Amino acid sequence: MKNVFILTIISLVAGLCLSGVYIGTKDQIEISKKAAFNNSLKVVLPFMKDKYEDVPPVKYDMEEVPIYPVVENGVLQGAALQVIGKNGYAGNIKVLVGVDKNQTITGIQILEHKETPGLGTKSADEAWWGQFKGKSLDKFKFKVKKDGGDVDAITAATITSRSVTDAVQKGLVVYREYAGSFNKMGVSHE
Amino acid sequence: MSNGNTAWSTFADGIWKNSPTLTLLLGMCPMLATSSSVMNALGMGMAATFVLVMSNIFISALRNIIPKQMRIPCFIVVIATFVTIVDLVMAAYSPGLYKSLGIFIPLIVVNCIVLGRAEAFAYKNGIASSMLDGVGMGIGFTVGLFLMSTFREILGNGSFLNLPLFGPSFSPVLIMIMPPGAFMTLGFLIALKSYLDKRQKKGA
Amino acid sequence: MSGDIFINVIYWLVINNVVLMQFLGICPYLGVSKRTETASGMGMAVIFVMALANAITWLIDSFFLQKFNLVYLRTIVFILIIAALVQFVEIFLKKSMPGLYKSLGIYLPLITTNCAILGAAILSVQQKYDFLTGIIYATATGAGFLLAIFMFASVRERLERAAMPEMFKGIPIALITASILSMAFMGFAGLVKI
Repeated sequence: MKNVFILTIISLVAGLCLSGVYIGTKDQIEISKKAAFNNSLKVVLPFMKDKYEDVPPVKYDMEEVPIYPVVENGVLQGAALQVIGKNGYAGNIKVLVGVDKNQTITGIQILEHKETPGLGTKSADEAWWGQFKGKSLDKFKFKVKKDGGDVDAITAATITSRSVTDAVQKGLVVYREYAGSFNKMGVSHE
Repeated sequence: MSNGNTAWSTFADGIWKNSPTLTLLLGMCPMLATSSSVMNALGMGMAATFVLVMSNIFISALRNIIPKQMRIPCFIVVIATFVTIVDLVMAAYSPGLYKSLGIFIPLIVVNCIVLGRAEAFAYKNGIASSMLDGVGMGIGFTVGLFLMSTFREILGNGSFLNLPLFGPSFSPVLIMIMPPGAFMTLGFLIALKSYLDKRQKKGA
Repeated sequence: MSGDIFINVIYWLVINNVVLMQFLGICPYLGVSKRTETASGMGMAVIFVMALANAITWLIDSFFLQKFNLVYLRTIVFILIIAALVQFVEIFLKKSMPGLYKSLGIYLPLITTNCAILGAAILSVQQKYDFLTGIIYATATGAGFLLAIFMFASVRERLERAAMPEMFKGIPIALITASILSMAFMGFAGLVKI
């Protein structure tokens, strides 16, 4: 009995210490998360001056796509969209796609992936995703070269490249729809 | 063991002679999983060293209170506490590293090195020598990780600490940063270590 | 999700194999793979404990930790549950199923520190699997462990009699064998799309 008592005491003390550390780091974790996201936003939206509009996600094909539009004087300048690339080598890939008002890509950031360490991370390199910059739906085939498109796949990571490419294309399509409804109704915060 | 000389030798032994991963074959999971880049390996090594040192100190300090029959659960609670602290602090201040180490941070809890040292050393020895043992073992683990990740990153990605080493014409041996490369590198490293040990014995 | 269960099982079993692709449970993988009988015994014990541990940790996580905002205590709570569960299973098997205990019993104490068990429990709640999917995930992952360790042990039995340089004997050649097995498992990658 005494043994169980000691274990309980140790566990309680441990629990108390941890809740202390948790409270101490909770805010910082949030700040770090937000800072990381804001940095990604800045990379994909080089034209963003200070802020984006806070709007609900757009529905597209059974999915909810979070969107971060940039509006100046009531005119839509572009947006960042958080899209999911399906069929990655190891699950889905979360991609942040930046689109400007001409419906061309301004930047790409990989937010989350479970690909092979080292390989998947190459997709986060500008050396690779730079090829998407300035491309739009009408002039660029969003498919890897192996599938008859215009995208150079990462060596030995065709599946990852395919998934990211799909996500980027989806981002452009969703943006086109959003821009269409924006021009009709203006910015909606609902 | 409270003798300074032997304490120093436990410390030094942990680094190379009794290297936890290369000789004692403990803690292989993180060794294989987090050695695809030097950055990840160093992060993992530091996290594990912190947990090793802190849990060794606390278990040694509490060794007269912890009852013998209940010692394993008590060790686990102490170790898990420090692991969670590392987890939270890393999430707060180094989110990039935190993301790439992922599940292997909480899994330090079941890293045989930490529990093994608690049972074999800290529970029987004083605070100071337990701390030294923890530092030695931690550095030994980190050195093993560093060696392995250096091989893997240079060969598999053509870079060191994310700095590209070769020109663009270099085509890396991708298999090295994938799972098979991890097993193979560790196999060759352990073979090399046993070869060196044997040669040293012959020479002495 | 439910329609894809079969595809997911294949994925967890071979494509994202717990040992050869995710590096979980390496210690028992290298430690108890010298004989095929012990390897399959360990594999069975892992399937059993993994499924059970996953069910219990899932319940605790969703009805206790998430409810009271204590998710940061996950690691400590899960490992204690697994340690207690293994003890409990051992006592239970000894008393009521001596036959099963005889074949699995000796592996149980080793399982507490098998990082695959804790890893699967944490991954399953992180991926937000529902209760049933979690159990299927754990069973398939455990079966993946059994598959990997059984194949590995069959190779190792033969390797013992093979001639090789002194320094490669034992663990080094075992790791190189694991490397080749892992390479073979990479070939499954295109089998299904998740």
